[in-house]
Amino acid sequence: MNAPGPRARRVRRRYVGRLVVFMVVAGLWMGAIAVRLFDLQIRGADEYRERAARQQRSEVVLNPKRGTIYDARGRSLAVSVETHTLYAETAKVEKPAVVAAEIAPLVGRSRERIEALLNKPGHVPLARKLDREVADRIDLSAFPGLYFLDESKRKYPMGSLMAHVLGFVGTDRSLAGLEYRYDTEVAGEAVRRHVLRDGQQRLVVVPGSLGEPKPGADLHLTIDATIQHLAERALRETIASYDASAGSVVILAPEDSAVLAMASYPTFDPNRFGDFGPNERRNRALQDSYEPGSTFKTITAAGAFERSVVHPDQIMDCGNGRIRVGKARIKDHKPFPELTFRTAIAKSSNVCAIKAGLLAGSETMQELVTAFGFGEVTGIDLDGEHPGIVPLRVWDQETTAYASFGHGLAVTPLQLANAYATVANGGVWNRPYLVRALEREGEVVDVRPRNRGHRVISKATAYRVIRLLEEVVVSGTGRKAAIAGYRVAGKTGTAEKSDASGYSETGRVAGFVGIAPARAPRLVCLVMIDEPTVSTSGGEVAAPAFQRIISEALFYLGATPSRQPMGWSQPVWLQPAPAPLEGPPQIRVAAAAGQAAADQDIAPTEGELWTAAGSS
Amino acid sequence: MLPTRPDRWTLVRRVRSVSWLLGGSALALSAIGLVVISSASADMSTDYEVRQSAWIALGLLVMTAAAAVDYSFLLRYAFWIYLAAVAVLAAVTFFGHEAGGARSWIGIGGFGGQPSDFCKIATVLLLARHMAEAQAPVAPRGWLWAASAFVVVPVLLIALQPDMGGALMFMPMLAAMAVVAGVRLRPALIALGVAAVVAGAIWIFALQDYQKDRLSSFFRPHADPLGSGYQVRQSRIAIGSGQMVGKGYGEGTQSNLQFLPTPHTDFVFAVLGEEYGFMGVTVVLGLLLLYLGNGVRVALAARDPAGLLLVVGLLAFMAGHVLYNTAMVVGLLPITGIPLPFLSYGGSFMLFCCAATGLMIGLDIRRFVNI
Repeated sequence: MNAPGPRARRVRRRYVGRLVVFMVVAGLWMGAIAVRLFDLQIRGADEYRERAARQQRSEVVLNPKRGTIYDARGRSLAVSVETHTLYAETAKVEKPAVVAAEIAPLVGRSRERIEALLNKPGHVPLARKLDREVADRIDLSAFPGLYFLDESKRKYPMGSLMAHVLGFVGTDRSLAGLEYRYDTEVAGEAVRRHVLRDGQQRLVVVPGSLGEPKPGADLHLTIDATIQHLAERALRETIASYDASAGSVVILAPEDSAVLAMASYPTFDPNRFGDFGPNERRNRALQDSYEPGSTFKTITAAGAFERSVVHPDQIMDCGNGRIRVGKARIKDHKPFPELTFRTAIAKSSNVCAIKAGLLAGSETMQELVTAFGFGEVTGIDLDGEHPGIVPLRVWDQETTAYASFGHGLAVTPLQLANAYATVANGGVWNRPYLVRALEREGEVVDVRPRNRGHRVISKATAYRVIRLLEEVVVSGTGRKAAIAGYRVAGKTGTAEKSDASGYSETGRVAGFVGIAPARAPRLVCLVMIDEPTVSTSGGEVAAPAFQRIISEALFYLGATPSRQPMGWSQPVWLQPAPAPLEGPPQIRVAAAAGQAAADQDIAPTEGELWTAAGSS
Repeated sequence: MLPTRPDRWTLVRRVRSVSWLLGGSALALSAIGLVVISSASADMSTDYEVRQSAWIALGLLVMTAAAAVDYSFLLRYAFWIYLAAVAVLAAVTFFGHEAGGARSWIGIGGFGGQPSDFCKIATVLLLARHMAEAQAPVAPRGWLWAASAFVVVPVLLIALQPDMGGALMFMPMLAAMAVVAGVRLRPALIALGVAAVVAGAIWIFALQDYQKDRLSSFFRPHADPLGSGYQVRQSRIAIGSGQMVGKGYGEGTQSNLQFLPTPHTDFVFAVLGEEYGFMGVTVVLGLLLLYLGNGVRVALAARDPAGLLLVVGLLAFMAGHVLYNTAMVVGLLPITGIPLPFLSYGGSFMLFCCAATGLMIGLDIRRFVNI
């Protein structure tokens, strides 16, 4: 091993040559790997990052607790209870068929469905929102891979009470009523928790992603469950005894049209809303409109008083039950001789109402009807309200004549009740509402309508209309609405139902709308019975229901009995004139009609009366 | 004849001529490996980074020792070393305890080691000596057959464990040494054909089902999402999602969320790619190239054929592991248990790498012919 000779050099060259071959092979290989790395990390980077994220990230939605709905006195109407959703981590379920066969009857789902779910990969909900009793029957230790997650579920502890107002909540969505209208507030805010999923499909919570769901706000309603119950009970019993098809009751607080009760029949149980159809779920108080019939004469009277064209004690010719307006011949339900306007309204003379309406004038009547909110949704905080039907064209004499006794137009019970509330509070129309406050984490926010409403008729007119309506209950068609110890004002109505072929022969809508106590109104109540059979008149069917509801409600509210109860009324001329009203009366109708002093007590002359009535 | 005892100045010269690049790149790679292992095993019950540190420390001792010992001394006793290694290997193959489906481990205290790693060094030593003797002007007939026989014995034993990856790694070693030693190319190609036939036979008769699954899943990785194709895919996703600069230490979601199989051993390169991106991978590949290139320099400077062949054999082992492991992790080759030198966790393999490095350094400092 000395200095390399020629052979050694040759050998060495061969070594080098052959080593270079290996180095080239290794270099090429290394290059291929580098190209591959470039391909993966630079060119396909986004794809692989996305694929990594897709298999690692997962979102878990934590649902907030839904807010409670309380009645006016803090009684729970809709509450959220903790329920348990059964999940399966399907990779850990050993025998899907066996598990499905055992679980299915416990949770009330079909075995095939459960088995199909168990054969899906990942975490699968097998049965949503099980009650505690159901969940307790499932022994998780016997079924590896199954687990529960808590979710809240809506319960309505008072059953069907107020069902149409409250609405209901589906598995994940609110579907109707206040639940739907106030869903944004009541539902609260869910939290999406980002979690990581590991290679064994286990969840790994990412630190810092632990937001808590924001609970929903509580609703405080204007409805009093007791009054609501009185209304629903009377409605149900009236419908049963008169074999009617449907009906509704609306009770408003006249000062601001807060809804104290709103009932519809047929009704449903929101706890199992799926068992009922649209007929039961329908909130007739605002989703259906009817011809108001004689209950609408209140509006006519208001128009006549507002224009000062009729005096309550003015004697009017009821035309023996017949009147011609233009080409139309209108018959009364029975012939009346000459009566004072007060008596005519008490006995519900159509002819007299037509004459009063025509005296007030078509323009006044049309504007007044619109000002009372007919033909337009009231804007109550519920969805699906029907606007009613009011002829939009300029009213002619015939339209006015028919409208004067509540025909040729359609109103919802809520609209009509609200019109009476307008009269009861002295002439100011308010938007009815159901929710008076939201309570968010102990902080109560008043959500009552801000604007004070608009004046429709003067206080004096309102006062006179109420006095007029008292007579209906004292001596007229609404005698069965009388309540011992209280003055009651109200109006009966019996409307013919119209169908596709015109007015129905037998279908009637019996109604009564009243104000109690008349001189210090606390309640305005509408009772409407659809298609009663034994008797059809509002005075026979609806007025007694009103009497039952309101007599008990006044007692419940502790309303002061009237100083001058029904049956003892001073002659009108002995009574003090209505007190002058504060400020100039702001009367839309009067202003529109160009008449300034609306509450002047001007009786029209005999001639004027007849000119008005006869000018066809 | 024992080698001449070096005098004081020779020792100084040797120490001063140590190639620091070789040892330095090995150390740098080990340090990087330690970091990656500590991230990859963060959620595991065993403190792999602590153990790996111990192995690295032990490896440094082994490296120094291997560099200090004159390789010609080792070559002289190569046959006996080889016999001892094969004996231990046989004992483990037939009586060792099973881990991960293979009987390849011996336990020493809490630490385990695979004798096959020791056997690699022994085989290379024996082959280097044998092939160097064949470098005589007239080569003895059948030297290649004898050499192949020396390889076949440990390969069969390792394949019986069964550890196909470990057995496979002897092939580039044998090929590289034979080619450098001057095998004629035509018989070599014939041998390659024979090898193909043998491979076919192994596929049919010797491979376990799980190994066949692994190999076939390489060709159709999407057919079996949770089988072994799953590993290839997860590894690709890990590397690909690392992008240019990676996700950072401990941020490798693929490994921390246990999508990657064995992230601290065979798939350590995937963790590296995920956490340090293309940059990190390039740096590591560069260091590995630096190491291998320095190895080639050492080989070319060797003072005798035996030394050259020894380095070639060791380098072929290292290069085989590097190339196979990286190719497997990026999805170019079927997955089998082949670690990445210096980076993967593993005691005996780390010792093997250090011993190989030490031997090369020892060769390097003795490259001067006129001692």
